Amino acid sequence: MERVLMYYSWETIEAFEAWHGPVMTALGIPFANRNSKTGEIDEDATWTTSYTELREDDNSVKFAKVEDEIVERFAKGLGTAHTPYFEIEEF
Amino acid sequence: MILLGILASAGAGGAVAPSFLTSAPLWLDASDSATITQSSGSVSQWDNKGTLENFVQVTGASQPTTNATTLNGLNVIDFAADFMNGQTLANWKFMHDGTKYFIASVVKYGVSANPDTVFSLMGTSSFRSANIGAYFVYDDRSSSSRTDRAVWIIFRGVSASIAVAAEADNFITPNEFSVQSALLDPSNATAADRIDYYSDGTQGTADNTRTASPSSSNPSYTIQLGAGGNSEFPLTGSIAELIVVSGSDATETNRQATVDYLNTKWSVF
Repeated sequence: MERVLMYYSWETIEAFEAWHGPVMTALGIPFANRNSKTGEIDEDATWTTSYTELREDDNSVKFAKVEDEIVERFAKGLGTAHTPYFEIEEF
Repeated sequence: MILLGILASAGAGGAVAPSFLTSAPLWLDASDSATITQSSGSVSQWDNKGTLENFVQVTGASQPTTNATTLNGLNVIDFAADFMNGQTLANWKFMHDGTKYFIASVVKYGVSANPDTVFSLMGTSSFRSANIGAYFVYDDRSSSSRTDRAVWIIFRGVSASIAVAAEADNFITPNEFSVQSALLDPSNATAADRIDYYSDGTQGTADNTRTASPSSSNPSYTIQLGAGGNSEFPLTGSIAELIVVSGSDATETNRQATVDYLNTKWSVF
């Protein structure tokens, strides 16, 4: 597998939110983004409203994608490294 | 005069976009910076130059990256297990309901020679036949005896009853850009004519054998760029341009014209 490990699991939503909240604050989320041509902030375009998103895999493990830089900066409360499992139907 | 009639605007590298692209449901062009909204290179919105909705990603960790990689001197969008979302289920029903359409994309799957996983180009169904929708992916899972496989699937919401399934091993070279395209006619009475698919200029020879009628209901999931629906099997790799043309414009002649446009522009093969 070529992908570096970038997913982490949490036991509860509350534990995830306790970690994610300070990350959001530190990154200044939510924020508006810029048009790539003009460089101007476009308030009407899609805002960035979260750092990551807690999901469940096919084994009901709650996980979220976390980039390496964030892992290093926000280690406290970070969940456990996890490889999410999703089944592809074979036919 | 006929040639002039099908040409629209000259693009980068002298490539001229066929005029029918202005009425295409989907036309994403990474070289057109005006269509990209970003912060520090993380893309939150990629505007559709076609007729349907834009693609968005509000979650920073899943936003792809712009202004980091070029192909033929033109910007591409890089994905690192990232994906973007459409917004309206009904808009993308045509991709599985029997409507004729074609897809043409300049895409790179993976960033190594042996990814040993699945990477999605796009999808509305996730990966279970009980769902409704379509997915188009690269599959290199050794655990399932897949090797550089192109996969084009249309589900109809009935378990194990599939409208279109075309798969070919050793058809896509990972970590290299290619033009992946397919002309789909999911309600064609002849199973083999339900899809013709290509990698660059080579047509896949493993024909569809499925004959089930397609579903007319909405897809199970919102369309995702770089995932197959339900955020599963996100793309690591890059997308330079992705076009979907439907209805009367979805002809083999126009698919070839679109592939020619993409290849001239991006210099892929």
